[in-house]
Parts: sequence; structure tokens; C-alpha cells
Amino acid sequence: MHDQAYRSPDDQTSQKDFDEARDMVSNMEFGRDSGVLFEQAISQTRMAICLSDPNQEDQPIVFVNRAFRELTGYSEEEILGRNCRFLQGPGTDPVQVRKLREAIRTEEVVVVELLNYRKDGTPFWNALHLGPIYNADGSLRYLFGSQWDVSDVHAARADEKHARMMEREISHRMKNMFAVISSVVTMTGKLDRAEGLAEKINARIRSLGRAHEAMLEVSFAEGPTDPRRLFADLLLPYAPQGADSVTLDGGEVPLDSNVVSMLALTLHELAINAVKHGAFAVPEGRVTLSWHLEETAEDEMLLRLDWTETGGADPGPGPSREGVGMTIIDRMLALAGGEISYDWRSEGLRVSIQFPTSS
Amino acid sequence: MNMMQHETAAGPLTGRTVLVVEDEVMIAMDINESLAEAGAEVVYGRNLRQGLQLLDREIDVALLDVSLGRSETCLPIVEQLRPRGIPFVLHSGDLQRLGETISNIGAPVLEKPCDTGRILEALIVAMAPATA
Repeated sequence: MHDQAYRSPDDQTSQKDFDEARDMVSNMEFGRDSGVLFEQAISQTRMAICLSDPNQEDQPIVFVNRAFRELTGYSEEEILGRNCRFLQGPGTDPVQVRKLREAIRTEEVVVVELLNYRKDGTPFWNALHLGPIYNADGSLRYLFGSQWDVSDVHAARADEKHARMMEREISHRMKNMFAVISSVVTMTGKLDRAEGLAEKINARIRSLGRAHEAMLEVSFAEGPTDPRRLFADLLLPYAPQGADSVTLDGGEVPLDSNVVSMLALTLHELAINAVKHGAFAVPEGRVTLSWHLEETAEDEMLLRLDWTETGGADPGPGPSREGVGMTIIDRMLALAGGEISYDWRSEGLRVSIQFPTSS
Repeated sequence: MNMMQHETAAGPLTGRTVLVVEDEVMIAMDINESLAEAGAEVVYGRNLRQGLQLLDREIDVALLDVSLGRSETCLPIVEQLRPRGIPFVLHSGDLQRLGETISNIGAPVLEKPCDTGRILEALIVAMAPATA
């Protein structure tokens, strides 16, 4: 049995520890020479161990090791002869206790996590692993219990739960915020008789909203991220056959919030253009978006994207005068230290974009 | 680095050079164009490194986004503007988390989102004691 700190009651190491310790106790003859070594091993392990006698009234504890006494704060005299429920208290979940009792009755191995209390009253999360030990003739001899303090695991789980809750809350508020902005634009457009303009603005706002929504679940994680979901959320609403019309090809990239905004606005304009004049105007049209990172001489990382339309209408020589959308992204990318170039081929538009991804 | 070369118009900021440091490019675009329309020459940095590099220019006033991505803030720029007596206005969307940093700097603060008219006014006010 090794001596490593316990982390989760479900992992394989702990199961192995438990099995080994139980086997050892199973072979132990308390008070006899042959059992001394085992008894020492059990006494020394950091796994808190107790044995109860199922054949006595109320199944009293008949043996505990040092780790058990240290964990609970009680001395041997205070423990022996009592049922191990004396560790329970007001915060102990009765459902877990019932699960434990049922396992004892059916002589099965069980793992429960109980809120237990030390002698000084402080609570701790106890991962209790309990199983039967039999005599050679198959009759029940002991109930073998191993205890680990998993309070830190519980705290970490609570933090994680809280973080997930916050993410949902932020996501909810953000959706609401984008919806309200959208409504304000629509209302203003209606009252000012500029519904067309309002709709164009709203389409861009929706893309921004979708992009930031897609990034919410990764925004808490540092480092490079797979942008596939982001790109899919941005492009699929415009793709005539959904995912079948779009090929996404590339690895992970660092995605800061400002990069997400730039990608959202840029891909939105390209998608809108494809719907009007290119690959998304016909059912069989396709867009391939591939991307990779390049390192510049100044130690900056450049994100390079290649947009290739195929199977769509001939885009012609390209617009003689750039539309509002293209103008916005040209200026935005220039300001970001990036660039965009268009190649209006007869088989479909090709666009290459690059800009720095990190400051 | 990107220095916006706008047609300088006659306006309240004619003849002035404004340093803008802002990491959201869309916001910077809006601000820079409004400042240029008001006659300013805009020098723009989209991160801390670029902002620091632009400090060798003759600057009349600065508009600084407080949080510049990752864990960087505009503080190093503030530390260089102060001794040179260059006024500046802070621009932040994160007053809650950066409240302490901001109040320690002790400069006028505009909370995002802020319309460009108010930004213009704040920059003019920030320069006022120097011109009086």
C-alpha cells in the first residue's frame, strides 16, 4: 500500500489502496506473531482505517489506526466500542447514511462522501470506503472502513460550480444586452424610416453577439483556443446547406476579445457578400476557411485566414466601389496592423486576411 | 503601429496632437475618426508597447484605455506622461474591477460606452489649465 495523498474517492489508485489494505487486514491475526507486520503496516499508513465488528450489538469499532485518530481528533479509548456514526452531525446527509447502511446490510463495498465532525466540532468531508471482510468459512468477520479527508476536493468542486454559474449568468446577461441593443436599433430605424439601415446594423450586431457567445465558455481559459465553433456560429446562419457548405481547416489560435470582434465583423461581411454575389447564393456553393499562425520579425503572432469560395456564381470583377461593410473591415484591419486582399476569380472570390493576434 | 493620417479639419482640436491607446480596434476607429474630424492629429497605439513607443512624439493630450488586454494596463504610459505635464483622460469599461487602479491614478475617467462628443469635451477640458 503506498502512501500518497488521496484525491478522489473514485480513482483507481484509491480502489487499489482500499483493496490492498482490506486484504492485509483480512490476513491479519490480531495479537499473534504472524499478524504483527501487517498490524504495523496498517498502523503506519496515512489512510485512516477502522474495523467494526458486525457480530456485536450495534457493530462497534474494534480497531483504528493512527491516521484515523489524527483525522478525527479522538483517542483510541474514545473511539473503541462505539458505532462509527458518532462522527456524524447536523450537516451529515441522511441519504448518504442510508446508502451506507444498505451496503452494510447487503455486504457490498460502498463509497460515500459524508460530512463528518472532529472531536473539536470542526466538519470535514470524509470519503468513506467500506467493505466486508470474511472468515475462511465465508462468515462475516469485520467491516473494513477507510477514511480520507476530501474537504479540499469539495472546496474545488464548489469553486467550479460557482464559476459555471457565473458563466451562465454572464451569458444570459450578454444575450439580453445584445437583444436590447438590437431592439433599440430596430425601433429607431422604424421611427426614423430607416428600416433598411437598421437591419444592416442589426445583422452586424447579431454576428458580434454570436461570436462573443461562442467564446464565453473558453474565455475563462487562458491560451490558444480552437476557433472552429466561433467560425461555425458566424458562417452557418448564411450557409445554404449549413455545415455541408462550409469547410473549416486550422488549429488553435489565441483569441482575445478584440480579436473575436474583428473576426466576427470580418467574417460577417464576407458571408453577407457570399449570400449576395458568391458561393452562398446557390445551394451547391461552398466556402473553405483555413487559418494558421505566422510569426513576424517583431515577435508578433499573425493570424492568417484564407477564404475561398467555389461552386457559386461568378463574382465578376469585384465591386467598383466598396460597400459600407467592406470599408469598415478594411479600415478596422488596417488600424489593427493587419491587411485584407481580394482576388475576384471567375470560379469564386478568394480573400486573404492577416492581423496580429496578441498585443 | 498605426498612425491614422486623416484630413485635418478646422475644429476645436485643430493643431493638437492626441495620443489614443485603445485595444478594441472598432472603438479606436470611431474615436480616432471623430477626433480627426475635430481637427486633431491622432497618433494611435493598439497596445501598451505601441503606446509607449509613441511617447517620443509631441503630444498635447492623451486618451488611455485603462485595461489593455491580458494583464496590462495603461499605468506605464501614465508614469511617463505625468513628469512631462501632458494631460490625459482615462477610458474604461471595467470601473468595477479596475476601480482601485483608476482612483490611484487620479485623472478624469470616462466610462465605456461613451459617445465621442463627450470624449472630445473631456480632452478639451483636460487641456484647459495648460492653455489658460
